[in-house]
Amino acid sequence: MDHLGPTLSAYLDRALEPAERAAAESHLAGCERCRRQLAELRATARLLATVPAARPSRSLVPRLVVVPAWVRPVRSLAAVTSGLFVLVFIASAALATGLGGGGRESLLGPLSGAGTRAAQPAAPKELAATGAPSNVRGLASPAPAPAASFGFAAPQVTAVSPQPNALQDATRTSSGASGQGGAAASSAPAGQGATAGAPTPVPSVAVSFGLAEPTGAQLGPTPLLWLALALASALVAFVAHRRANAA
Amino acid sequence: MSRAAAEGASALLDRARRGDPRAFESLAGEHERALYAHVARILGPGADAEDVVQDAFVSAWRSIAAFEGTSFRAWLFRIATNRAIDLIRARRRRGELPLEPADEEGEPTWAEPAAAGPDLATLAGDREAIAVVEIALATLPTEQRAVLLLRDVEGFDYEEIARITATQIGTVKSRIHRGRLAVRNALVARGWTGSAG
Repeated sequence: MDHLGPTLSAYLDRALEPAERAAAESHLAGCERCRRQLAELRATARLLATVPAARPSRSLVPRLVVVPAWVRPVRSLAAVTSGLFVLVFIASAALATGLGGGGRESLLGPLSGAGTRAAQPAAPKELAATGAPSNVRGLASPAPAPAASFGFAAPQVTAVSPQPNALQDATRTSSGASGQGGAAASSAPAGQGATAGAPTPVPSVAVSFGLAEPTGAQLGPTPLLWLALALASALVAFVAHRRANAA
Repeated sequence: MSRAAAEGASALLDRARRGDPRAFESLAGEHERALYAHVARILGPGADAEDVVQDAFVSAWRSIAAFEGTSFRAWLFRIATNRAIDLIRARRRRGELPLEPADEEGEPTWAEPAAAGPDLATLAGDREAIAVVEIALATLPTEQRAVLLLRDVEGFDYEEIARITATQIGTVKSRIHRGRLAVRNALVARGWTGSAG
């Protein structure tokens, strides 16, 4: 009988037709040599399966998703813009709170130092030491007495309706109006701010806190505007970043 | 592959067929390493093998709408294997590689061990033996090497290999057997005992 020879590999790989397979099995049962060769081929095939795999030095998958040319510049620009708005927000908030509530010492917040203003009503720097019409209307009536209010709790302040533009009005108004006895105070747009108003003749101490107190030095209508712009820019940057990295 | 993964792959394939580049990139990424390892065993590792795989992906992407088979993996191996073999042929034509001996006809011989050594039939995972196998692989005729790798490393069956290499099943059988026997003979020549005779 012929030995299996080349058929051994096909037998090993289960690639024989059923009839061929049966014939091969009956031959193997009686042929030591073919059994031996089959075992060697099997061992060789197993060794081949363990040959180590080389690894590529770079990614070989072609980049098929093309990022539009504008995405990366927009991402950078939006990120920088967001950072700038954050800085403006911080500056604005710092100004609005009179740099930590020490209104009297604040150089940047003339309105917050009511005592100082009372002492120097005509100082040129006191742009906002004034009863701007819109302010005076709402503020003149309560408490001409010395007043100090902290944070959120001053009743005479909460009575005032939010007037985001009050400070601009105030800064535009001439300082000559300061003698009217109006207390320059208004609430924050968010209703948080507190100021103390003092009529001119009565020296008073005002200590104020608050994120958005519209002092004369505040940048823009409210610091929250800058915060919102910063967040919006950050969102644009994030979306552009996702788009750039998705490819 | 788990059932969920298989379904995920088939969904990816559908999306890729409809022209979704991200789906194709994910699919290609799944086969990148195995494909490179395969091509590197045919061509030798390096920039040429990397280029072959990358070109194979590009080619696959361009013709994916025409792909109608069920095995994306077999299709990728077909494209990459043929490119690798074409590259070797081109190098031979340019004289960069020596001509290789033609596939002989007839029954290949079983080399006899010079002396008794460790039993070949029982060794598995032996480092020295694997090194001998790698060298023996590199000396096989290109087509034989490619077919043997597709069978013993990649696990394709004979019919798949016949489709991948565009040859008859009889040719596949013959190449697999000759390739294995050549590797076995190389091991015997290095001292492992075979008892055939």
